[in-house]
Amino acid sequence: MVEVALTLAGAGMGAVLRYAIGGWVGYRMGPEFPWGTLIVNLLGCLALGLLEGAASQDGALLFVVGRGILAGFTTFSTLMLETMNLALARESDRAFFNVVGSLALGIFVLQVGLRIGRWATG
Amino acid sequence: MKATEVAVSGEVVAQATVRLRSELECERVIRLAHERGVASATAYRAPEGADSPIFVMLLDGVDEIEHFLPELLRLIPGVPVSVIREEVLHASPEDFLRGGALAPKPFAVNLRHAGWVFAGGSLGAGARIAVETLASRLTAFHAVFPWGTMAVNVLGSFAIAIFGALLFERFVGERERMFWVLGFLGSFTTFSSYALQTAESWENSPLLGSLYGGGSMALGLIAALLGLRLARRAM
Repeated sequence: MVEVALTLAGAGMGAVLRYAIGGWVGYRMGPEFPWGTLIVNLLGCLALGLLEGAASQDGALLFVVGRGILAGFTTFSTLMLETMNLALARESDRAFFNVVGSLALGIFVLQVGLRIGRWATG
Repeated sequence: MKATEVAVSGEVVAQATVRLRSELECERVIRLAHERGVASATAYRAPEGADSPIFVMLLDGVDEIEHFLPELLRLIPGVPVSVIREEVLHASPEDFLRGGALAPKPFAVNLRHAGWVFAGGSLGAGARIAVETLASRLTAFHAVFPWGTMAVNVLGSFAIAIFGALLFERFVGERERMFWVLGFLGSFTTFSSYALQTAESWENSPLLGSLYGGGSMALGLIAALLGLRLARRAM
């Protein structure tokens, strides 16, 4: 029960972090490309990789941080809407990079995080 | 204000007055003007007894207005338009004619907004975990192909597109956007778990991995398109 409460509060915190980091990056980089969401998703993937690599046996920690904070921090729905808006504005190159780049880079930084996490904990 | 501070001094602007018959026409004109980046477009209710119940005033550079009006007339043929030209003495914001009034404001975290995002984000995660738990109890298959997470992501993409379309038409306020869009739906759907599941599923079976990774993306995009189309048709 405590675990669930922590997970939900963590997801709320993750969402607030996404609002702050995504909003700031989005404002700095301008409206041509949804950099805010991409940066947030990549940071979340890197952190999840580190966590899975360093603490793959700790189920409670994985639940609270992985499915709470980090799952709340990263977002799939915004990525889909922003990609569809790019496609409808005939920005097909940017739309294509947004989906394929998000997935490829996301899995790449996740693997990097996993290696670093395993290496750091021996 | 000193004359040197005024960037557009001496520039000539065009002000077009468009007389409209209905609120529907008015919405279409404002939407088109917004999409084309007209510096200012405002609709007014005409005084009692006027020939048309609504009029819209469009303000921008002379070339921009001249360029915009033919498109407007294609959208609503035969609508009466009158254009006057004025020389600008002062303008605020200074970059008004270059879309200054439309430019995004510098980002700053608003504590009240953060509170709404937190509340929505917690509830969204609760809903996601409930669906995932239910799905994994229903089928053992969920461990190799997490269809619960996939369903959450696709459903969330559909819902956010409906909000996106409503937001564009300004039917959704800031508070609702913070709670539902940035909070609930942002947290209901997840990218980090999706990427991890795709990688793990790929290691078990490249076929299932690519079906999960590509399928989520394809269905998510179709759901977003469907949401946008449905919401725009309803308006």
